[in-house]
Amino acid sequence: MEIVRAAVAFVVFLAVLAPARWVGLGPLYGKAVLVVAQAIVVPTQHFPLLAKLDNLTLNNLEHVVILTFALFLVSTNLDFASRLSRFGPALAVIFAYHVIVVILTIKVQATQELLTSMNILVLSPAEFRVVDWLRYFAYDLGLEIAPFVMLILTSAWNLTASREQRAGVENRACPPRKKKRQRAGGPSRSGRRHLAAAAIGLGSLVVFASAAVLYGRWRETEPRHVEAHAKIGHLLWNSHKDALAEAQYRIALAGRTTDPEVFYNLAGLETRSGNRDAALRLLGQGARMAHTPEWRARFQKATVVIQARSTSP
Amino acid sequence: MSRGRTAGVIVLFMAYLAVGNLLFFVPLVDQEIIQPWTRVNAKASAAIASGLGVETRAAGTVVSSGQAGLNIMQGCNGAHALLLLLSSILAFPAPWSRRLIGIVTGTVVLLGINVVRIVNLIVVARYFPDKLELFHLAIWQTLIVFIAVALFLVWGAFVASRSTADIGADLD
Repeated sequence: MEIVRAAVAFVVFLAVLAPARWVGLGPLYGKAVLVVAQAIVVPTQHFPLLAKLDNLTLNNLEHVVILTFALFLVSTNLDFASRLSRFGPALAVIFAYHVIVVILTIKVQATQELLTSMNILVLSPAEFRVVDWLRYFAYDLGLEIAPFVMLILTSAWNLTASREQRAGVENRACPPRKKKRQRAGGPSRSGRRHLAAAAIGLGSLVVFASAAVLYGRWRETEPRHVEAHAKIGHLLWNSHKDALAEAQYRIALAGRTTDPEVFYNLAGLETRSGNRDAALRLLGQGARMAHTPEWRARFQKATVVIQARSTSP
Repeated sequence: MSRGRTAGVIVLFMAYLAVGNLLFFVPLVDQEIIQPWTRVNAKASAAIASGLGVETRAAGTVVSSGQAGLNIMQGCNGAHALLLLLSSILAFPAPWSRRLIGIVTGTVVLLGINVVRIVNLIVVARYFPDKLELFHLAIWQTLIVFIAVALFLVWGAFVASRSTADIGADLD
């Protein structure tokens, strides 16, 4: 029976696909997913490089939405309210999952673009492998996982509903005996099991969050990552986004960068803000990092200029 | 099945999927299993299409017929659908002998249907190239998943019927 239901859903899916394409449901759904992904990615990105997510198109995300709609229509064992209470949250989960797909795809694309065009390594090779694996899992394989899970879930929901209906009819004919009253005092066996599950879940969450925080801290001192902050700082500096560049330079500085340009440009920003002592301190530190005669000369010249300004009336 | 057991099945299913996905990234698995299998798919599809009167050639993972050329890649070789089916069979509580029956039968049926899929796509690419995207990404991608689900449901019914028969035999 459930195979027939799935087959009918597939036919409905094919029937709805053409009008959905005609009204442009795919691009519309893609846009909605992109808007939510943008609202998450842009304010929370580690490297402030993306202002918009315009140039990303992920095809066929809407197929599983249409299939879910078709499964909703053919789930005749469930009444309308039960269908809404099951397929509504399922659609919300699918949407959230598509947002994650978009975020992972952006991560992979941005990492590849920055490495090939500007030689900036925003993710370490190991990190990139993990993100790429997740993206493949969520998108390439996910295009098939999502319909599979929805078809299985629909079968399970309809089967359960028909069994409950049958049980209801049998109960009316022969009412079950009253269950033994639960012993008073202390949680029941299932209650204890729920408590244990909650404790394990919470413990796992704490361990995972702590590991993430520790990894994040270690990462900020990793030389290649520090270099990425410095290089992105230069990129923002050259685009005249001084405030963003300064933030990246400060992170690079905290990570003990050895890039002389970071010290030089930061000293320039300090001078502009009237902090000449801080600027001189940065120039002194930068001069020690300068490994070429050109950089040493630049630091020397800048130091002389700032000192002259501070001594002149 | 109790709620806890259902959750266990779902966790196992996701774990098998994740491990399978990880295997796709192992170069040895790709070179020694996936690529040869994809080439077999291409050769078999080309032979069947030629047998049906649509002259088709296969070179590696690429099949070409007239002006149309298709490169069979991961996902179009049936590996994804097979992974879904195997993960669900392995996660479902059943005796290993019945799992083995499901795995062997499911693999043969699913991969056979995947060859039919490629033959169909060759014909569409040659004679209706503007419909290729519709057939490739909308119809076949969903249909192959539907077939995997149908195979799983049939196998599940087989396992349930055998279990009932076993209980009946025990009672006798």
